[in-house]
Amino acid sequence: MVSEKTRLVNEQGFHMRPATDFANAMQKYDCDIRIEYNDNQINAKSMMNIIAAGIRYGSDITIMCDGKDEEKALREAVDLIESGLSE
Amino acid sequence: MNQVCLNNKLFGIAVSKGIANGKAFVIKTRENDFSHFADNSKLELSRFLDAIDKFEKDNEEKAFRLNEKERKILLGHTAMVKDPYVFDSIKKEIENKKTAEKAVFDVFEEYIKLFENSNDKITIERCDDIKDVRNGIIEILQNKNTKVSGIGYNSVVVVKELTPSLISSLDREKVVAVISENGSETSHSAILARTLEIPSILSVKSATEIIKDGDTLIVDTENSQITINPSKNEIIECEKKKEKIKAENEKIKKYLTLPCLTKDSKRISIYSNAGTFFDVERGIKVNTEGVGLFRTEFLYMDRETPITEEEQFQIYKKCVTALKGKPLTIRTLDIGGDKNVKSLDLKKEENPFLGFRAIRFCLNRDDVFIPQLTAILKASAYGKIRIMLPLVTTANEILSAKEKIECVKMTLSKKKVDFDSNIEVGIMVETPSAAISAEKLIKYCDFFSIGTNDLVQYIMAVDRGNKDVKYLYSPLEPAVIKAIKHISDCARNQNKEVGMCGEQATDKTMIPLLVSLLDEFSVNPAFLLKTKYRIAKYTTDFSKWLVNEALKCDTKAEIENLVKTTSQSQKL
Repeated sequence: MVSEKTRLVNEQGFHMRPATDFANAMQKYDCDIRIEYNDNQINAKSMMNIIAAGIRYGSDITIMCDGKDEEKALREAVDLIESGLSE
Repeated sequence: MNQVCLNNKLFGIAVSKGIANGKAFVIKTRENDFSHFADNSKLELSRFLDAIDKFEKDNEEKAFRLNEKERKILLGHTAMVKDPYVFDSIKKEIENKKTAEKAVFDVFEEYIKLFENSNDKITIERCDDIKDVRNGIIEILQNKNTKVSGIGYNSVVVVKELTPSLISSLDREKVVAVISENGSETSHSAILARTLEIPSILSVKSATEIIKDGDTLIVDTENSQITINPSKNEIIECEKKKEKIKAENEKIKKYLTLPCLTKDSKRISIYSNAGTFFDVERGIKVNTEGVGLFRTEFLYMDRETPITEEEQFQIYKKCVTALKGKPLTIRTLDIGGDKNVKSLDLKKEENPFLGFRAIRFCLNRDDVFIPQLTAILKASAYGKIRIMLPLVTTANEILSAKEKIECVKMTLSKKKVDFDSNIEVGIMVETPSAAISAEKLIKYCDFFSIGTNDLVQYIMAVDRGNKDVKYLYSPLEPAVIKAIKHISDCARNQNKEVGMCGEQATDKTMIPLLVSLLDEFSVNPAFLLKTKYRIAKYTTDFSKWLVNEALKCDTKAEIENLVKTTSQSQKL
């Protein structure tokens, strides 16, 4: 398993559009991907679960990937979040 | 919020402007009646799959009428059902012998509770979207027509829950206004109401109970007020107000065929901005005199491999041909590390806005820049194209870019490919260095275009996405006005044209100042006529005087006040 700490830089938080784009990007990986936020673990392939978590602007989160393409998945997940999810 | 029923008045939050009167058409939400358990799970599963398919197709059809941004809302709705977690949960419920309807209802119900308990305003608002999706799918499963039927002309639709799917299916010919018990300024329904230009008042408590089907209503968003069964006088007042708004719209429409002139009949070019062929067409529909900014970064985004020279050529050719001799100003790739562009392999950086981006990136990446320049030059054989370089900071950058343009020209000549050998090359003036040494840079280019969005950001050293410092982001800051004046003077001293592309070129407060400073305004097609109308209100002399007075001011507030108090009287 690999993981990395990062921070959400979208002013609006993880709302519908970024959550959709993010979950879609994660769905192409085989590994299990989770977002840890406030001691909760969220399935990163599910936009509904991401929105439900209500992750706010400036929150510290940890991305955790477990499976055969975990390195690649982690890289893309962190890149997407740090680039502000193209907002 | 004051949502009180005073005599025959109701109040709410106005989200889409206008005034309208008509007959109430009250839509009561249907109770969901369906059986909870089914014997044949396989059949239920295939019903569910068919319903999702239909839901997706219907959404795509509706989305067709909308802009990119609004389209994303409906596509987000499709994504909600296709969410693998949601999908699997529904499947499991169906395997547990629930009907497709009940399974969909229960799973989404869980999410509504989750969202409601999130303590986050935006997340809680998304409950309306979930309910909309849930009801949409259940209606498809029960074969109910989602379209609202039976609405007559001049109807004011009154609903408990205004949903994006409802508002996007309303017939604009018949529905004059919308009232809803739920919703807020930022809800997706509000965004759609604004796009479709339906006057709407949301968050009106108990509206569907107080208002009866067939009641006469006046909906006035100016004071966020609904009048139920108004008096004769109130109707007369409403008609007067409608006339006034109509007259103003007519006035603006008149500008469709009028040339763009200042009050003292000085000619100004009015161009439109675009990022796609569709935008170019929108400009042509309002008689644009050309495209003052064609953004090319969208061509590179959302794809795995870089766009080829041929693909670009076809797009530019299509646009310039449609413009029939009017100029198409193509801004070369303006992109940097803040965007995640798969096809370009951009490096992530600490300070993307001060980093390897736009012209800096292009000059270093012949594999990207040369195909773009080649495509632009090849398309220039089909009409008038101008090249515009973004984020220029030094004269050397202009020289290097021009060198590359000359190289491409040589290659094309050798291959006997046609192009416009006198193609104009200009720059976006959007950095402090370009503004300060505009008198030097203008020597090397054919025109200037002031990019206000970035210019304000760099001059004021402020990230407008940051709530804490956003107050500094204003084009009316004395430093910005001074810079724009200097840029304009430098271009004109060399008899070259200076334009502006960006939101500020349409701004009510900026236009009186800009009339004497610019030769071209390039604006969003939606604001083109309004901008013409605003330009026509002012004389060049008044604008010159106003700029001089503004330069004497020390603060943004003084400038704002100056423009507001003097431009009113000048109009008359």
